[in-house]
Amino acid sequence: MNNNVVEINGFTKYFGGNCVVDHVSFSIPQGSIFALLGRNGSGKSTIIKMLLGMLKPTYGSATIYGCSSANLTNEIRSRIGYLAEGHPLYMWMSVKEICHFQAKFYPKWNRKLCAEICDYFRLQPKTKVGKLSRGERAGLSLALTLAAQPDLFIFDDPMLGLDPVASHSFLEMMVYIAENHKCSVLFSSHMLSGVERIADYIAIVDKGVLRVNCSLDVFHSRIKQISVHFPQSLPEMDAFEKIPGVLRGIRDQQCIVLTVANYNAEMQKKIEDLGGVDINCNDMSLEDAFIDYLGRKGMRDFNISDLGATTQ
Amino acid sequence: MLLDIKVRTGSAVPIYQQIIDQVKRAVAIEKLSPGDQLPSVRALSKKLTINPNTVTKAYGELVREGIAESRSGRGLFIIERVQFYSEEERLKRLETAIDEFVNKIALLDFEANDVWERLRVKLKEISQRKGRDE
Repeated sequence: MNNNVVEINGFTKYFGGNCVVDHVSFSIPQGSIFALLGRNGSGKSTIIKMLLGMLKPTYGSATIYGCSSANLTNEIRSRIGYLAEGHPLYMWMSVKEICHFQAKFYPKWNRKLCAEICDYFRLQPKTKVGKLSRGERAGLSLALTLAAQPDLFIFDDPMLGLDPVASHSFLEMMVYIAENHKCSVLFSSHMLSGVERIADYIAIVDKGVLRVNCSLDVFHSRIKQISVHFPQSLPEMDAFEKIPGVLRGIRDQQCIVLTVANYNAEMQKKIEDLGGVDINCNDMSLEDAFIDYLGRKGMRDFNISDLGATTQ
Repeated sequence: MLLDIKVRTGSAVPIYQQIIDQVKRAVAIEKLSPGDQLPSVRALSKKLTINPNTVTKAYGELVREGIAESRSGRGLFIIERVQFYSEEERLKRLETAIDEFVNKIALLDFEANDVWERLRVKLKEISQRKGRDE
């Protein structure tokens, strides 16, 4: 028995001739908070939908608690709390009605918890769902998901379009979930400050390809910004781009600032061979690292994982 | 003594490191003394809205570096300070701090002697405080 609640093996999806997810594999350890990141249209939602069996992969497979995504049993489904993108809910029901309605489907429904979260998000029981603001609707979806007391939470971009107060409340709820070590969370997001606060692991997909799969700390430690002084003449950008791991460079008159992945002695030597001196290595923020890693070049063959860097 | 730990997202310094740095600073300026208790993992993660594992990691590091110790069932406590940096690391940190200081005062147009005198007074205060402890 291994310790992973989710295992994805080579998920691939074609829409027509278009490959939107390309051989994506990762696992989610029991009790962890796992953030799935990527730009718009990178394939995050498609991966989540395939994982839940709502979409059939062209190739590849996945399991949740050892049960194949293609044939999830009701028992496994009742252990999953899924929150779809945009918080779709029955608009004509009132808050109270939708809570009653949802409760019928879940044997472990916790009425008290549902009421507490509704209260936390200041939802009035009689208000029609259609009249709620986006943040309130997100709060209501969260109440409905948490009250079912699932073991695995899957949130598809839960903080999309929420104001700072509502997204903070959402993060507080995630911390609340994290305190219970039996629960695991998979969430996709663009809000990197939130990810930085609560994620244990991150996976980054870009154009359907998995580019990062490691702990947040490993990603942080692998991407660095180095500044190099060139007393003679500054080589052309091409010379730097040929060095594996160089993601981006900004040239000044006699200096260059490079964003690099997996900076090591070998890379340092190559830079020194080009005539560089006074090499300074600095840490980067998650957001800057993310932007530079996925930026302009978006080298599809570069990958960071806990197993070390590999070039395919 | 209650320590008000704050974290900032979007910084180049990871959150667990920010916690470590603040506790160390508090110990260095004696805002925290041996015997003082740190907030529980649960309380701090809730207060800062961060993953409890991040706090656990920071606390683990503080224990490894000999700044705090865990007393079973009671939490984490600051212990008597020993020098935990290597000679090389001490020097590197001193250089960084001096660079920061010099950069900050460069545009204030003080005479070097004036700065030096003020610095001497501050350093004397620190060493007196240390002497009192020992």
